[in-house]
Amino acid sequence: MNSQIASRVCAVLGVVVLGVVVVLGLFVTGPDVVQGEYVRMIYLHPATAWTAYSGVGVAAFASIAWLRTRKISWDHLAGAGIEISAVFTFLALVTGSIWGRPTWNSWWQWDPRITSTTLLFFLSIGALTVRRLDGTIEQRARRSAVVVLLAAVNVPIIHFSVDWWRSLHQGRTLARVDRTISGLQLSTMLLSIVGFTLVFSALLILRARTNRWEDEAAHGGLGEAVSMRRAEATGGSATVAQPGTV
Amino acid sequence: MGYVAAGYLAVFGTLGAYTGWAITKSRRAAAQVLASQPPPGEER
Repeated sequence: MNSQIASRVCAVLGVVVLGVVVVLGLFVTGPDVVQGEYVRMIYLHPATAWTAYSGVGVAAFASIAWLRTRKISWDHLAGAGIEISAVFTFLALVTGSIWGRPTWNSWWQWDPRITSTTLLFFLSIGALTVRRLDGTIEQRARRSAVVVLLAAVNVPIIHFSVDWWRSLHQGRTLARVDRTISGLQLSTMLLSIVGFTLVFSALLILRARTNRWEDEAAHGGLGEAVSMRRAEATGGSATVAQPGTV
Repeated sequence: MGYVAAGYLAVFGTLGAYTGWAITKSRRAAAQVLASQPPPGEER
C-alpha cells in the first residue's frame, strides 16, 4: 500500500470513528454524577493530549534517526510530527481551558500540568520556527532535532506532573487500579483516542510527503541527492519517489 | 451545554481548517515538483 492510499484510508476511518464519538459523546452518553454535562469534554481533551504526545514521540524518534543516518526523509517526518503536535497541544490547552471555566471557575491556572503543556506548545512552535531559519537543509534538520528532543524531554514531565507536584489538574484517569471511569464513558473515551490517532496518522503522512516535495521543488532534489550519498557512504539505502506514488 | 459545544466546535473547526490548509499545501508542492521536471525524453 503506498502512502497516499494509507493516508486516505486513515483519514476516512478517522472521520468515521470521530463521527461516532461525537454522536456518543453529545447524544448517547449521559451526564456524570460529579461533573454533569461537562464530562462530555473528556471525550476530546485526553485524546488531543495523547495525539500531541504522539506527535512529539514520532518527531523525537525521527530526529534521532536523522542524527544517526543523516537521511533527510527522517527530517521530513520530524517536521510533520512536531507541527501536528503543536496543533494538538493547542487543542489540549483550549479544551482544558473551556472545561476549567465552569468546573474550576477559571479559564487558566498556573498548575504544573498546564504550565508544562504550555511549555511543550512553545517548544513545538520553537522547532517550527528554527526550521524556517536561513541555512542548508542539514542545518535546518540539526537545529530542529535539538529543539524536538528538548520538547520530548518535557513529555514525561507533563505526564507525571500530577504525581510529582500538588496539582489542581485531576490525576490519571485510565492508568490506575481504582479507575474512575467505566462503561460507555470509557468506551467513548477510548474510541476518541483511536479516532484522533487515525487522523494524526493521515496528517503525518500528508505533511511528511509535502515537506519532501517542497524540498525537491526548492532545491531541485539536492537534499535527496545528498541524503542518498550519505546513505550510500554509511551502507544504508535511500529511494526517490515521484509525487502521486508516495 | 454552551461550554461543551464551544469545545467541540474549537476542536473540529481547528482540525478542519488545519487539514484544509495541509491539503492545499500538498497539492501546491506536488504541482511545483511536476513543473520542475523536464518533459519526457528531455534531459533536466
